[in-house]
Amino acid sequence: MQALVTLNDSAFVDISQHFARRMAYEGGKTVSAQIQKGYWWMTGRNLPKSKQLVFEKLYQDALIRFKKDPKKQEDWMCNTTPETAALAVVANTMLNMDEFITKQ
Amino acid sequence: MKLQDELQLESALLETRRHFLKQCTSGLGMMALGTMFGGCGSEKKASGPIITNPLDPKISQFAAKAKSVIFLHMCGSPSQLELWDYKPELSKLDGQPCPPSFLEGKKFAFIRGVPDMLGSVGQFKQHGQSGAWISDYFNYLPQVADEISFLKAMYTDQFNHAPAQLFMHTGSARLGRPSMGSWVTYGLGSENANLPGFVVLTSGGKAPDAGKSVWGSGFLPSVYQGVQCRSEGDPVLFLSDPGGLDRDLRKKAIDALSEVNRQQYEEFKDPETLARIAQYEMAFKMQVSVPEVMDISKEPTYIHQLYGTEPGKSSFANNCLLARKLVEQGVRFVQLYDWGWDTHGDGKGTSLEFGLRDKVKQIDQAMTALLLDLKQRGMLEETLVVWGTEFGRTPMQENRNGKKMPFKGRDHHTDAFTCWMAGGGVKRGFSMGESDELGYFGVKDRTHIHDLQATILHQLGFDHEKLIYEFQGRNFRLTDVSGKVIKNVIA
Repeated sequence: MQALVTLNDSAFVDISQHFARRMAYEGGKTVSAQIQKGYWWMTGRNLPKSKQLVFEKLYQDALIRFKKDPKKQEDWMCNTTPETAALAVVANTMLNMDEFITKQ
Repeated sequence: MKLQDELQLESALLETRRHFLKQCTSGLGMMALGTMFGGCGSEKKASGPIITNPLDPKISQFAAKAKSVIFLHMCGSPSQLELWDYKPELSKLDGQPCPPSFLEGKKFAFIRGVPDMLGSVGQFKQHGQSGAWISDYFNYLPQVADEISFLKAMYTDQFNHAPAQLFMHTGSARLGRPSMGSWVTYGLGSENANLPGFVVLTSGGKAPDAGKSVWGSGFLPSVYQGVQCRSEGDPVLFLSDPGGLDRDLRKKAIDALSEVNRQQYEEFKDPETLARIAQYEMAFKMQVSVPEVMDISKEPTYIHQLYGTEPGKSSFANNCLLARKLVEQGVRFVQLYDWGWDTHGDGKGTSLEFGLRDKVKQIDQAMTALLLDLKQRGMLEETLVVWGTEFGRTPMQENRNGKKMPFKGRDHHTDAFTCWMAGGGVKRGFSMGESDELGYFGVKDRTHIHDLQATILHQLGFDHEKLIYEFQGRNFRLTDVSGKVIKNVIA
């Protein structure tokens, strides 16, 4: 099933994690800026505020999870901070957006 | 930053394309939505309730006899002359050269020159009260002979595996059309919101020669594609989330995705966006529901003994049991593909005397068990079981490149082959269609692949001429521009 491939295939997971590292180092100082930058790289457009809020909430949920359970973070993405690991969850999700997958 | 420039250009073009969908002529996207998920009928719904989930159950055009279909497809084409079609006259001509009238103007896949006639390797007997002819290749199937309706004069025009399989399953020998299961889920939706409406199970070591297109959705929304479940390893490829992403976090991610995609849909009204949202939400549900239904270890011992299952391995028997379980859970269309039936006689494994016997052993008990199991659960009347293949085999011994083959085998044959159906409102203990005395041409009550497809749709409550989808300027349907329901086989 195509959805499962783009969510869980190790190639896509790798891409999400590399993407997240780029977002963390080149995206700016704040999480908002990093997420906006990631969206810009993926779609060439500015991230609308309403969608930004959705991704920021997801980021926070993931961050809480990884800070509470470092083993889980290691399983998901090793040798990194909880912040970048949380960004990778956002990146993995963004890679599945309709606006990314459907070439417009 | 060339990539950035390209993205910005695309962004500008985007506005033009989606503007067309959104604003021109009152939102073409909205009108398309109505036809895309509407299912039956040819009228476009200009207004009315918007179907937000393309897999929501829909009503058929008329009362259905069958709620589900289990299609058992033998890839490679088993020889009807060894299994179903009793031809004593052919046995009398065994070893004699083929009469020219059978060869003139004909194209064969591998036969060259003048081959010899080949009598059946099987011994035939009549079984059950219906007197069904079944050969001694089968030990178990005669038990359920009285449930089966045979179609012995099936015909096609494709004599190679891939186009012929595509023809059987998509109605066209060329790639690009939706498969039968996709048409069915497009028309009927799914009864179980947690499982795909169309599941595919394979066995025999290889995928069908036509590849995954035989269960593809073609031009229908991708949410109607067949989902291949495996009885070995992860039940669906990539079903498991990566380590560290627990169920709860994955749910939050899918929710975020659905929200973002919903906003996308609100802005542009592209129906494919809705299909995508549905697909992701289904994928999430499947992560729990599929491993549960695919786990055959919890079935009672007598069931395992009935089917002859091999838990943990890939086998046709496992797949038959899974088919029953899936249909029990409301899956509309279950397709089983078993590979390895192409008995040309070029090796022991592809010979009629050895290879074919082994292959039949692999399906005999399980198929019988499936019919018995469905019957004892009261499910057989509402489940249409179809045993099919892509074409038949020649009454002549194959002689590849004009040489003698090491074993007995037959070449591909389009003019007469056998399929059968059971349950789902078809006649019990019935046979229709006859080939000539040598088993070469169908001579009575011939039924084409499109006719079989029309009949399957009919049992599910659809007029095959009215289950349509507009694409590239014209209406398409599974049976393309032909096909007649085989009224004679319906109870």
